[in-house]
Amino acid sequence: MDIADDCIKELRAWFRRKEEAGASRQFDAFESLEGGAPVLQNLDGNRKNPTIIFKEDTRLELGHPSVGSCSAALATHDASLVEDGLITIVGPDVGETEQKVLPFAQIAVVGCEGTIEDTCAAMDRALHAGAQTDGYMLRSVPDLIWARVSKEAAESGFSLRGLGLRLIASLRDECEGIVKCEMFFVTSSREDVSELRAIVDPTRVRLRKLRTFGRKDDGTYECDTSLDCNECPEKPVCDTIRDVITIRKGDRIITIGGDDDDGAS
Amino acid sequence: MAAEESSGRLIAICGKGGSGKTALAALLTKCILERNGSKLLVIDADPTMNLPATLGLQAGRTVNEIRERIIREARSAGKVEKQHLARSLDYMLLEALIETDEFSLLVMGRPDSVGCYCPVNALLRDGIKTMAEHFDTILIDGEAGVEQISRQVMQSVDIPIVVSDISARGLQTAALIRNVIESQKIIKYKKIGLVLNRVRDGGESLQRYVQATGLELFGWIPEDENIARFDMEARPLLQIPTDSPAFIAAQQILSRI
Repeated sequence: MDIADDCIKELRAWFRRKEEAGASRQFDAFESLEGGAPVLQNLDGNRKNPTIIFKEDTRLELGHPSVGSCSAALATHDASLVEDGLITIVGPDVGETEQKVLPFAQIAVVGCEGTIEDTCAAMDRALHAGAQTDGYMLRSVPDLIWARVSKEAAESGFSLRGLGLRLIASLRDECEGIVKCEMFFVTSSREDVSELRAIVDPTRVRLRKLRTFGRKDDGTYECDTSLDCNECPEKPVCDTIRDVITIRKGDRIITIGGDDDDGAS
Repeated sequence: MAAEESSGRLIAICGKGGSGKTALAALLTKCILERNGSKLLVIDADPTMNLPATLGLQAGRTVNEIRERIIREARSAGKVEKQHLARSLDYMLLEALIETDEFSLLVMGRPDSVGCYCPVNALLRDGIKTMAEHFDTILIDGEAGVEQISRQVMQSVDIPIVVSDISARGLQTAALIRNVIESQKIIKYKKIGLVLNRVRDGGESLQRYVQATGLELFGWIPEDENIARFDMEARPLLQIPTDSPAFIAAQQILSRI
């Protein structure tokens, strides 16, 4: 059982409930898009820096900090947990709403053959790179995602469905060992996005700890970054243990020259 | 364009405290907006952060708050966290950017951490430069000297404007700022000049003040009761009437630079 498996199962259950309520739509990335849905244009290869789409040029803002967002990249060795090539959308797509700002969740789930931690890290990079396209501005931190779709891109047919296609392609191309890919997008409500965050956050915290502490061959962990103990999330544990050691030393009956005289104090 | 920094036009305002830098920044903002539809970025680089209110806005997240967060996260960052941090900067800067229908505002704020953190400043300057490239004009309201602008905002500007009233101390400070900029090469620039503020009698009599500073005179702003009244009523200077003497003078200064 992998670290993200329970989380993926819980996510699947959540999306199943949406499907049963008629609130979600699903698309197969491997079917050809009908009606000539546009191929997303790549950024000019000479452009090094992320472009900005100003408010005045924005048709739709997704995941603005004031309305909430959730971003996750999850991997599993249990391929049965992943529906390959499926894109699920809960809430309106870009061309289906008159609203200017919507909450936004983007979740990528893959079946993989490599290590979970390395795959999740590679996914994160591939998802960010795969989203770089004209008319779509992406800003993200590990758990949040904020995007703007320009008026021009929206008029040209930019869609979350098209974005999902692109991201699946990017995951397959850029990440070694991926055998299945699935994408989820949610724009329905702030509450829905908050529920997804609550499902995803514990796994994210555990994944971060795994990355911070390298596992040795004997199964124990030691920090393999240049951690400052003062900033280590486990510092309270070590502080408690130090206090316990102090208490134990204080409880000893110290006799001069006795066995308990360790000379430490 | 100022050296290699930005594709836009960069104007920085500095001068002794109380000389009227923020008021001039607000007036020039209004002038630029009245002129044409160019994209304007205003940066409040004065730690006292008076500019947002003068423009009728409220400061939110500041760039120095971002700085503090970067320092905190960098303390325990491994390889993956460094990549996240590289991307997080753009997210946080966009969050700090106050966008209105007419212009955008970035507030630098006050640094909290003790320590120079030069690489952090370089990282933030790079982030600001990336953002500034999308604007036609960047107007920076600084503090007394230009060191803080150079360290935390941009290392070159097109036009530093030194603001002074016509007090002896103000003009001495203006001369000192010019000396520091020219001798220590703290900031690269194309053209530097002086704006005199709260002038009662203009004309030839000003020349003796200007000569003392060694700066070219870009213009002068007359004493204008509208400015004082707006200040007392806490009204944004962007609402100042276009026939106001201070606004007309600011338009002439903008034409000259």
